[in-house]
Amino acid sequence: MIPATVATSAPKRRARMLAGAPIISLSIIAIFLAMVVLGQAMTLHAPNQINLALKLHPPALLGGSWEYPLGTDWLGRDLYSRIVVGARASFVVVVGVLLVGGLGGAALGVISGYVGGTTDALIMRCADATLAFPIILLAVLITVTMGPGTANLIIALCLVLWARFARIVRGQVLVIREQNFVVLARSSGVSGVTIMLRHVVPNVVNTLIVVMTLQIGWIIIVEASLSFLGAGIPPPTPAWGSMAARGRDFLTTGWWVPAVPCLSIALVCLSFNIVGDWLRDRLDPSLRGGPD
Amino acid sequence: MAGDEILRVEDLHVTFSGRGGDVHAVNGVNLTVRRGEILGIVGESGSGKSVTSAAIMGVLPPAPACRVHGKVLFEGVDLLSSSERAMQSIRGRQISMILQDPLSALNPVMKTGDQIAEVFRIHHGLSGRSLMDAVINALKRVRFPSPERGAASWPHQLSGGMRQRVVGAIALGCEPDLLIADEATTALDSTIQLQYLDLIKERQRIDGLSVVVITHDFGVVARICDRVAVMYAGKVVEEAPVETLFSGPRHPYTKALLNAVPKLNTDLSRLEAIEGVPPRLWSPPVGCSFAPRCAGSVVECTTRPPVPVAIGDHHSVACWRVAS
Repeated sequence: MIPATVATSAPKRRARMLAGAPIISLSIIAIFLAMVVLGQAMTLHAPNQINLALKLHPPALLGGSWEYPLGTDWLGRDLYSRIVVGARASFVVVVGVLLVGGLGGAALGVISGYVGGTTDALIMRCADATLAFPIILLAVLITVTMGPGTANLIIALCLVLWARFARIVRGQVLVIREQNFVVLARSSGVSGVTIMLRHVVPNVVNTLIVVMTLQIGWIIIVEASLSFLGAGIPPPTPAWGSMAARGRDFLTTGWWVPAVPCLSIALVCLSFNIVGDWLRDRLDPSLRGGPD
Repeated sequence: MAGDEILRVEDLHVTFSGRGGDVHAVNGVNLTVRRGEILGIVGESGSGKSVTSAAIMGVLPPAPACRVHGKVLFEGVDLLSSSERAMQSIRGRQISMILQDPLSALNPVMKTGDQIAEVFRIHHGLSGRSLMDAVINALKRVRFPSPERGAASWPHQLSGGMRQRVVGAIALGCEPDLLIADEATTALDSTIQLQYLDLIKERQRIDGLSVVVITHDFGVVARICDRVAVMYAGKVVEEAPVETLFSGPRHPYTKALLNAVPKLNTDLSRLEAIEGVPPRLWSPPVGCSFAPRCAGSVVECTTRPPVPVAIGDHHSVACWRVAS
């Protein structure tokens, strides 16, 4: 192919792309992803190693030792190592829910918006019903009836989350399908399915990326809430939510035990939301550089 | 100018169901386009021009939101009763369309070359090198400067005029028999507008392309059309060869419309406006739809809709006063 007529050079554009990026949030996400990828390699101790002699040892900055940087819990287990391992559990849930629930919901949204009529009404009423239901209650109901476990947790969250994606994507598709280029594609003989796949879907990808980023925080919180309620990832796998739940008995004697997982959840969710907001501004096609 | 008919629209009705009742956008339109002829359709906003063209292309929203009656005969085949599959092979290859707004006419996330390639892939089954050549050729035919670069660029990198040329390359790519240009030049500045019209005229002269030009600009009509149909409130009120219409308009609406066009040789401080507003399309008047705004309306005008009568060579008017 012939090189595109681009006003600015590639490195310059990359620099502009990163201007105003939320560095701190991106760093926190990077650390989170490192925990997910490296897992055990980043730990200082075995996450389930009990050391009763060192139980409720405070974090390093509060007079503890760097041997246990975030302190220990009521069984003397290293909190830092448990957070690292717990990250992967959260991440597996996030990815699973986004891939199945998010993409599935988005696909239903595209179909709903593009096909319209009865199909649209049917899908949207199902989405409304799902959205009207208290989310935690529905998820608890599903995990309780099917039994706890990561897979069931993912299924439960997908059943709840698809509706949000379907709604947002459908709204976008309704706008796109009225655009002239869709009418022109039809009037040059392009079939409905091809228009949907080649003209409509690529135009909702930006929205989808942003919505996905913004939902990551929500998934982590719901996963943690369910683990907190005992309907999430079963012990002994360390999960941030269940760590907070078990730790709340020690608020007076060792407040860092529940505080560390709670802060981890808060920081990661906040970071994903901030990055999502930033992406929403960045991915606006009109900012991609025009004829200048 | 003579020649067989390529398109014949018979008694076309298009009704949209709206919240406030049915909107009769097109009320019994009859049109014919002869092979190699350029027909202009003029009228103000809401007169049903664009809906007529969408009905010919078969790109109106599906029933029950929109109901279409009548016949659209293209090469003798009724398009309104053709299957969607059959229509897909006609659209883009035999009939194609250019729309008004070039800024939204191209998919923003697809390179222009790929968008042009689509028609060749669908209708001619081209791929690889020959597809690329076809794309470049199509761009060359619409006088796109540096077609190679054009094919590799994104729509947002092109100006409005350039984008409209890309749309033209898509529409004319498969050398259709009929082109519907729905306000194709309205959004362009006047110099680009002239070049674009000349381009269409050239395709007519060389390939014998038949064109339906939908516009509200008499300048466009004067420049390229052979015949004109004037539409008002979803009906054709007057139809005539261009010279006849400009020299002797007979329908009061056509006269008023032509009076509203500024002229260079007369010194007017104010342009003539047409009193009143167009009829509400959800409750069209019983008689002639122009009667409430017509200075010379008689009793008959408000009781019965006028029928088009031939009053000269290819000249027909739907007006009771002209008929009597």
